[in-house]
Amino acid sequence: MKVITTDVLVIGAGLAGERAAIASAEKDLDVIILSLVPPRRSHSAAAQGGMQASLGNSVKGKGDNPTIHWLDTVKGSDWGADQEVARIFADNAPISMREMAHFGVPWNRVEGGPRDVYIKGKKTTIVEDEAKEGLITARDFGGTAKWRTCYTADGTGHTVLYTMDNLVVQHGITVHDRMEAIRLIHKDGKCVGAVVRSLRDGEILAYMSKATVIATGGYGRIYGESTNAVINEGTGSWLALQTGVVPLANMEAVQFHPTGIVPTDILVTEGCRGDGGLLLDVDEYRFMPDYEPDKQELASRDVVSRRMKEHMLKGKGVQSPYGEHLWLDLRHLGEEHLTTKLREVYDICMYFIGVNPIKELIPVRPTQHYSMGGIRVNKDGHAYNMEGLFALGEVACWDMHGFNRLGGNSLAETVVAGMVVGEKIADYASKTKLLADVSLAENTVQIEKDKIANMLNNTNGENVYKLRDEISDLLIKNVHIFRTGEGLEKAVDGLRGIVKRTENVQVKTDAPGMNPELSQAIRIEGMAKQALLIAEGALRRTESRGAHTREDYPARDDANWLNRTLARWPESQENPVFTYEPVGVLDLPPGNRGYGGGQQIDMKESVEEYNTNVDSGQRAEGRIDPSEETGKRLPKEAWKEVK
Amino acid sequence: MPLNTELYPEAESRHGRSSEAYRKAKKAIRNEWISGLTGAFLALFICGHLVIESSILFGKDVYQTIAHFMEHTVPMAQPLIFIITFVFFVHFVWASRKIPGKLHERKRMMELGLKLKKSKKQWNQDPKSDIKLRNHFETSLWIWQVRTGMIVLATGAFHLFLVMWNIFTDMGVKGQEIGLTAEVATNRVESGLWILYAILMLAVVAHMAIGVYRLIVKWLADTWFVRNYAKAFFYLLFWFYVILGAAAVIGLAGPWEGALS
Amino acid sequence: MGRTLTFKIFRYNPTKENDQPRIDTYEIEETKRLNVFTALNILRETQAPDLMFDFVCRAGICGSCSMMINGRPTLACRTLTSDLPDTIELYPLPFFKLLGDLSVDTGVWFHEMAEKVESWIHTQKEFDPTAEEERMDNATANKIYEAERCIECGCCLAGCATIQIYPDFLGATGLNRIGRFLIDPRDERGDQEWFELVSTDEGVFGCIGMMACDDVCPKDLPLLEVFSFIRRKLSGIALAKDK
Ligand SMILES: Cc1cc2nc3c(=O)[nH]c(=O)nc-3n(C[C@H](O)[C@H](O)[C@H](O)COP(=O)(O)OP(=O)(O)OC[C@H]3O[C@@H](n4cnc5c(N)ncnc54)[C@H](O)[C@@H]3O)c2cc1C
Ligand code: HEM
Ligand code: HEM
Ligand code: SF4
Ligand code: F3S
Ligand code: FES
Repeated sequence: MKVITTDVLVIGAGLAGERAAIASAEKDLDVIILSLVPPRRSHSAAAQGGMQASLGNSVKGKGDNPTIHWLDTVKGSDWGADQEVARIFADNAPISMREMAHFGVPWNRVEGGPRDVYIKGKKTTIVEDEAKEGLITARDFGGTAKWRTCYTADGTGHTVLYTMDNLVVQHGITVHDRMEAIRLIHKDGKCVGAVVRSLRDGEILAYMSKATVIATGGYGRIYGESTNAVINEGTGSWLALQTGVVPLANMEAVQFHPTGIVPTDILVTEGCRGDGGLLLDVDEYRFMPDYEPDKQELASRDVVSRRMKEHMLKGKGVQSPYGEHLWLDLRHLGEEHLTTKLREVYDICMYFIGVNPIKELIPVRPTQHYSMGGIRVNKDGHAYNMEGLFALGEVACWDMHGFNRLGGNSLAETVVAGMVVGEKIADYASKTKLLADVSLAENTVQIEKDKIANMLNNTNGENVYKLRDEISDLLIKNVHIFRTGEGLEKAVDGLRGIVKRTENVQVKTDAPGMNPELSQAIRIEGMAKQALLIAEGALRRTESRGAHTREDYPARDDANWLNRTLARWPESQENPVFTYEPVGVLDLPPGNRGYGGGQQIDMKESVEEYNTNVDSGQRAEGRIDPSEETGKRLPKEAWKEVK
Repeated sequence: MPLNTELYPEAESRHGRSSEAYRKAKKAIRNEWISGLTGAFLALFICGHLVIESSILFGKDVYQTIAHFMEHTVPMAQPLIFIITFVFFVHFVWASRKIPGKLHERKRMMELGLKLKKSKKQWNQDPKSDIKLRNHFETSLWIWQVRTGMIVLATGAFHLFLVMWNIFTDMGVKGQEIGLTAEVATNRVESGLWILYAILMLAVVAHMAIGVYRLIVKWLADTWFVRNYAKAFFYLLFWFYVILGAAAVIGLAGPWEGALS
Repeated sequence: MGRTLTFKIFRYNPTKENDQPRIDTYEIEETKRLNVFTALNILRETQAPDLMFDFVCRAGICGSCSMMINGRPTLACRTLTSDLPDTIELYPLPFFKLLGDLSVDTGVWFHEMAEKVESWIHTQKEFDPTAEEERMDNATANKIYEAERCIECGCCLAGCATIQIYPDFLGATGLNRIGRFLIDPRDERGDQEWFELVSTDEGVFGCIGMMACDDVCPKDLPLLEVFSFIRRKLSGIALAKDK
């Protein structure tokens, strides 16, 4: 068995993983990055719209500051976020954007003078400040008080990831691509590396490290119909769940993006609406102002998606062979805008559905897009119950997004967390000794080898693709935008059955090498179990918060549910265990978001009382104490100064 | 972030313009200039040359007048021959640097070929479906440029030799004038060399048109002279000179000489 | 609609002993708006469980899925079968190392290219977290973005006959990368460094203007324009008076 040792093992070469790796490399630590694909193919590259940071350079972002960004984020989360983490994020986002500019991202810049834009459906002329000429500009995104989303045309993720990977090359960081981490090596609550399967030749090897970092992105593919890349199958969160002790948090908080195109489910960015795109129904009538007179098309994503679905339920959807959809209208933006600032969108429409957005309407519907939930970590990015294990990026529940993340906040999270958590990882690794327990590694590798052998030798087992389709079918039907107790029960029952069946998977060919069917089979157990966590978490949460909408419990219930779901799957147990912890220290008391309607049930205790239980509540769930006391980064009541 | 970014120690500025790497780079660009400029010069010459040769279509007298003018009134023909011959060979030597016929490149090709054969991890595309790729128009054009270049090398050298011979010796068909006369030219062509001239003409025109197309694309594609225009220009150049050249060769060969007179 | 498509697919698994390269033939019913991504997945799930190929974004933005489709290097995920004849021949990209069937190793080549051209901003400036960002003209930013749009799909290399003969050549994508940093005002590499890096036969003079790169680039990058720009820029440097 091959054992590779390093100081820091980063699993995942998206933005989050690479930024964290750089932080360690800067401290002269040995770093190895693993990735399923060459780093620049990671899904971060597909993000189009932009990244939020309160630079306030554009005239429509004038007066912006981290506090306003933080307010938007907390409101967007429907108070499910950890407000301190949101604050760390909002404070560091401008630094990160500037840092990325320093490293080479060609951000679009302010051009002084007047220009025509579309705001709330109307053509308006705004005059950019000449004094800001050449600074990073911003576009409008949903759920924000200011124009705050920094962008490079509609290739933001692409340019930022390429710049980041350039840095990785510059630092000479070792990258092993086409490698899949399939199990963590851990003992007594300490993580010492991972078992990895090579997707080039199928070899199974062990990586041993002082610190192990999971930055593997989202799990959208569990839903089947998703805007996510086909590699986003939840393998990273599964690594954590598999340990039996690390909890996954808020798995029921699943974001549906309003504008996935029909039928391919490819995303067209929120930037379309930010730049003035409109949503139309079957009569080509603009319906959003009726529901959300203030924010209109640019309410937060959960709200827009919900309204779209609502409108379709009223019979206003467009019927098509691929199901019901609505229209996105970009025609008024004009050819120039669409072929420059929204060029990716233009290409996608032309190539994939044969629609010319300059002249035609784009068929869209809400589509699974983002997971707010994930591996629960403390504010340093350290996983609960597992020393030496860190997580960041979409796979983590650092928890600045709560139950709904704002567009442009996730890409920004990856680089901010990479910077902040990256630092903590480097600190941890510098202080830690490598525990090269080879027999432990060997045993762990053996578990995986046996599992694989079983699947290959099985002669009368389950077809992995069929299982995968059944999982996504149950989720799409029952755990979508609107959820009901009845539907969720169906999903939970179904998924319990599927979880059992995943133990009996059969792989048809024993071809050596990459063996794609085997790769899928290795992932299926994790997909099924996470699907169950999503469904069961949703069933248990008898309220509506952010993206989690229960038709039978329409109110946000701060009396009972101002908390975070934690789900573990103890080893060799049939069912997962659900517990709950306080969301974190509250500064902004729960209130009305100002959009989205809906009722609220008030908190039972006062904010102060709630806050006294945060530390003990979280510690009881296995939180490793962060390097600073809880709440230290949260300036008290700064928001009161914002009008 | 202080980082050592210099993988190229020679590139450090203190070595300045005398550094090894700099000299190498300078040589590379000089090579490129030489092949391009000589090509462009030859192309210009051919453009004029063929126009003048086609004056035969207006009759031997016209041709004779022009030839006389250029050889005796303004004695530029003789020096021109030497210049052209010189440029011709310079161009040949420098341009063929790009033909994978040079030793070190052929070696590479062999290496690659062997590697493909030996290592199962490399593979070569099935020639059957390779066809479409090789059918890529501009790629085929390049292959044809190399081929026509070879033809021009052989036939053109021969042609130049004849012309030069002419200058020093009076071939004495009529014995009156030293140098080129309409008589000499037509006789030569009529006497069977027209096949050679036809081949030379086709090869030169094709080579020139392709060469000019590529020159424009290589150096000017980011100006107003974009590739599409260059391509249109290529067709124009090619067909105009093929027709003109054909007429000239036929004119020289006899049957319709003076057709336009 | 209702065509039966014949897929002729190059099959070879280098990790399997005694495996021989071969062409396997599969049939599949065409459905509306079927693309090669979906078709290959259907094939894998129903007929050829060990068929290897790469997709990631399936939206034409990540560059994973380039392959030879009827002789042309292009992105499989955005190729609709309706644009193709009844018989569809799929080959892996030439030039790159074959990993198996339609999957090739582009990652290593591009990583090495990035090392060779030092694909990062060279600057002596330290990042100052408290300072305003350096200003840049929006037009310049757009120009850089235009070159930065390359998705490293490798189609331009697969289409270029030069690089097949002369593998040290940086290729269209490598030159494009150099062009990207050349126009970036943040990069402090001086004329001389650029000159030494790219005025070579591995650099821009390796390109003999086959133009296939420009024709096959799925992102429609203005590759030829970049080469012209570099050539003239280098000429300017070479002609500048010696200091
Ligand atoms: C279409 C689309 C558009 C988006 N647009 C925006 C936007 O405009 N603004 C915004 O803020 N957010 C956007 N997002 C969200 C944002 O892009 C993602 O949340 C973010 O990029 C996630 O980055 P990451 O680094 O966490 O993971 P990723 O970029 O997904 O990277 C995951 C990495 O992990 C590797 N990996 C996975 N599993 C394993 C394993 N088992 N072993 C080894 N390696 C593994 C992968 O190879 C990959 O390198 C968008 C998302 C989508 C789907
Ligand atoms: C001795 C015979 C000749 C040979 C072997 C030859 C060969 C070549 C070759 C191989 C090239 C390609 C070089 C490159 O791409 O860099 C080339 C380019 C060119 N040739 Fe010739 N050639 C010959 C004669 C001529 C003549 C007579 C003309 C004039 C009509 C001419 C005009 C050109 C032009 C304009 C180019 C383009 C230069 C470039 O692309 O840089 N060549 N030649
Ligand atoms: C297109 C094909 C060509 C044709 C039909 C052609 C024809 C002729 C003819 C008929 C003459 C008159 C003298 C003679 O034949 O002895 C001539 C002269 C000459 N040719 Fe060509 N030629 C061609 C191509 C070339 C090329 C490729 C070159 C060299 C690059 C060249 C260089 C010359 C020179 C230098 C002379 C002497 C001119 C003078 O004395 O005025 N020709 N050519
Ligand atoms: S230049 Fe174009 S063809 Fe070449 S790798 Fe980049 S995107 Fe692909
Ligand atoms: S195909 Fe190759 S030769 Fe040059 S113009 Fe493109 S790189
Ligand atoms: S799968 Fe990403 S470009 Fe085709």
